Amino acid sequence: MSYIVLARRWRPRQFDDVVGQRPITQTLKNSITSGRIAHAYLFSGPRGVGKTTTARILAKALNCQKGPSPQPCDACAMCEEINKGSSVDVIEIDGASNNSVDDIRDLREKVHYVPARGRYKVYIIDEVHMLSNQAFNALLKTLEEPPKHIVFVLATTEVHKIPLTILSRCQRYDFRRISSQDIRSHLDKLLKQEGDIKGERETPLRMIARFADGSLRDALSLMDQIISLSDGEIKLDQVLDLVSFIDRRTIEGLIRAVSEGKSRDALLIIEGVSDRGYNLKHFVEQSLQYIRDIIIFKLTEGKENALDLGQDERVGIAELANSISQDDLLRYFDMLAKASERMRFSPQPRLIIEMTLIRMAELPKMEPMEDIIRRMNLLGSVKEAASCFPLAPPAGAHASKPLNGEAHEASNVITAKEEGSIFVVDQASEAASPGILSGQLSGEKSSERAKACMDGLDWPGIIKQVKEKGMVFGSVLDHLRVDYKDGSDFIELALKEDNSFYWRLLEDKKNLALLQAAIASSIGKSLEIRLRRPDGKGLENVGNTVEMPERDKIQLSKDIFGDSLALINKEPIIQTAIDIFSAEIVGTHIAANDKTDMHESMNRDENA
Amino acid sequence: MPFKDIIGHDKTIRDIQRLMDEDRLPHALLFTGPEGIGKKLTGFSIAKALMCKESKNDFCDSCPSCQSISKGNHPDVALIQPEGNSIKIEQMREWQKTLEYRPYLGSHRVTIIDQAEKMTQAAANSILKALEEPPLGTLICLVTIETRDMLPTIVSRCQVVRFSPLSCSDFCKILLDKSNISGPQARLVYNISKGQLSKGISMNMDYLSKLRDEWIGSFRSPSFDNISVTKTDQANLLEGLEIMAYWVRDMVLLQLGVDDALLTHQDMLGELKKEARKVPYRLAMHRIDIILQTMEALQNNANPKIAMDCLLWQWDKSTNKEMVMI
Repeated sequence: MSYIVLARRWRPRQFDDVVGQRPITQTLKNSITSGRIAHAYLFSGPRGVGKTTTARILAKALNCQKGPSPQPCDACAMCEEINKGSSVDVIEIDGASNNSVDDIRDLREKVHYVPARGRYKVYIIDEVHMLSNQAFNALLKTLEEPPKHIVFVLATTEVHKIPLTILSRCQRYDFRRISSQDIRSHLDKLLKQEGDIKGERETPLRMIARFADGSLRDALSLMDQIISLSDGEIKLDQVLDLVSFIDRRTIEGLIRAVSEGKSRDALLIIEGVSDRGYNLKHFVEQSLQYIRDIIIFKLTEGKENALDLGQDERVGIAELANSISQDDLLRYFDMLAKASERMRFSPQPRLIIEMTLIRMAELPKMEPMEDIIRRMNLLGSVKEAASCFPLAPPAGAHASKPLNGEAHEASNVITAKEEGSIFVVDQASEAASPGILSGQLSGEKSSERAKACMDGLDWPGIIKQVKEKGMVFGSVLDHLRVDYKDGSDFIELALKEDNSFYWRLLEDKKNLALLQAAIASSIGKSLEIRLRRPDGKGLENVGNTVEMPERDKIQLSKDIFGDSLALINKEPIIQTAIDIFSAEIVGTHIAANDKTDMHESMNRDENA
Repeated sequence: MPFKDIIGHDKTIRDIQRLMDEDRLPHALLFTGPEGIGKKLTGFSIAKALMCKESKNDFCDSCPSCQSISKGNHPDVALIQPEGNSIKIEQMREWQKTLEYRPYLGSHRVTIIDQAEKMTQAAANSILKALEEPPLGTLICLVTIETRDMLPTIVSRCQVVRFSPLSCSDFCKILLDKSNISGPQARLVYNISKGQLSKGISMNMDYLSKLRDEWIGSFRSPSFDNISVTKTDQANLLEGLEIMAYWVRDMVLLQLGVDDALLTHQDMLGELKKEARKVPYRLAMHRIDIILQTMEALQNNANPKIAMDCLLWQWDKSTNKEMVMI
């Protein structure tokens, strides 16, 4: 058993051999060339990206007998020794097993001895995150100002566990995950040197790279297995088998079955997967990954570099991306993610995934939010159209009457716009019918009415203008239905809902003058304003607005409440309130009175 | 007991033997796979095969070397397993000291770390260096259920060997061979034993069908009286619930029109179909849900009595609540 695994055999010996970390190796090379060598380096990054390797190369570069050189000769005694790991001047410490403060004290004592043969004494402390707190602190002084022949290289995968005081004393290099492309080309190169490996390599290597997830050592470990088990030929099946990946076709089939509501097929696929001895939990995780890929594909519109996919994979993903909506995909993802979570701890994971799939297949398709909003807008405009009729009877009155031709016409118009949306049609005809059935404006098509009701009028602009002068009255205008035809010399306003407060503000001459002025400045001519109460009592022309019998009302109040009203009237705060709300005083209460009284008086106010 | 006696992992074993034949056995292996399917056994077998003088790359299991490995007193074969709840760094330090010496007898030194996921943070980190570059002739086998329970830095240093659960058809084949369980029952045994062959073979079908009759019978007219939990312990309860869950699942599958081959209770097909007609589809889905919930609750040490009462309480209450689980 003298076999040495690929990852060790092919450990890079030069800076240039380190895969995918060019910014770091280049910087280190430059600093060696220019002689600016720091006394403490910190290499961090995920597993298998070259931290320890780079540390060793650095040690070699510093101590090479022909150096210090950015390209150690790899032939001199020093280099050899370091390669074998037997150099006395390059001390590699396993920080995880020697993590106590005593170990560091020991180190501090030895730091003072000059190197035996090389120029520098290089301390490589690997897995440095496992040092105890005291150990870290004991190291601080030495790390800050070590003797000039000392270089520390700390390496760790978990840089967040390193105290800030340590971090600030080191030159820090963050190693990146190695890109799938780099891993692939490295493996390819390696395969060529390992002997003749036949067969199509592209897809298997892509699988390995995907599995390795940015770590070259993972990729090499897997590669090792594959090479030993292959008969001089790498097969995709073999790779998939080793990493227990399910081929994408199966997952594709599953997602398609679910999206088409075929729970039977989905269950059969699960049966097949479990019968092949696959772990269902892994299968679910890969399905999640696949759904994620589809979503990304959809979002990026299939741009080349967003996903690391082979050609045939792209086809499958593109197909699903086109046929399933984003919302559905997200929902599938959620449900599967939850199932995967539950499966981890469940005694019967299979039941959970089966039931989840059945549910997913049964899900009604999600409608895109934009569609719904569009429909609602449509619905709104139809209602508006209906409400534009000045003398519409109250809703419900239409129920007894049969739909006339116009109503059908109205719904036809809408159907043409929004094909296949039965829901809208129903609602539309219902909403449109009250107005249409009123028949006050026969001969005019309702769809035209819908457009005509604010013809040539910038109503929102007018509202804005009014609001600048009188906020309260301005906001009443939001609650109005406006009917105005271009060219006509009057405008009809109706309250959308019965509200005596709004009505009174609307009747106020001052307010109307304000509105009239705003309209005039908007369309350039003065209009007659006609008001209509929501109970449909007919138009009221501003000119002959009936004076409400206010005097009588006040008289009545006085009869009931006596002269206290007069007193209150004089209170400045009350006056202001009256001005703002155009209010009138109908009664007085002692503050301690309960609320029902208050309501009563308000009701009375409204009734009056 | 040579390699071929390890049942159910023909391919895995073949691969390992091949590694040995070609002298490409790496220094670190990580065995993953469900509990009780022979991972540790394989680890010891490799150790025996490496050291057995009688046969090359296989083992006789009778020579002194194999015998002493079986007894656990071979000086070059170490088994590390949790002391108490975890594998501690002291154990690892001690073990790493032994690595520095040459093997006593042969040229190999094999260490099997069982339940490697139980290594403490410190312990796991402390073996990283040794795991990456151990002295020649060292083989370290880590045994665990899921790789994701391990430090990624450890996994990355090992060649991962996956032990798949047996496929259902293989399972049934072997089961019919080795036990007196009949064909239609095999499916139920497979599902209940979760694919663990040794468990499946040792399963007593009489007991299982008695349990099933009891549970299905009492759930036909469930009441708080006839489902007594006081006398059954938690493991028993879980078994019963699993049987019930598959029973209801079979009903769902029947209503979806899935092939009979997928059903679990194939030996009771007639009865199943009769009953499936009586239970509306939605209600069946609801029932599986609550059974699964109860099982999860019991696993999390819920009070069995209360959990079962809850189950009964909801048994027929298929509310109109949306069945979507988001």
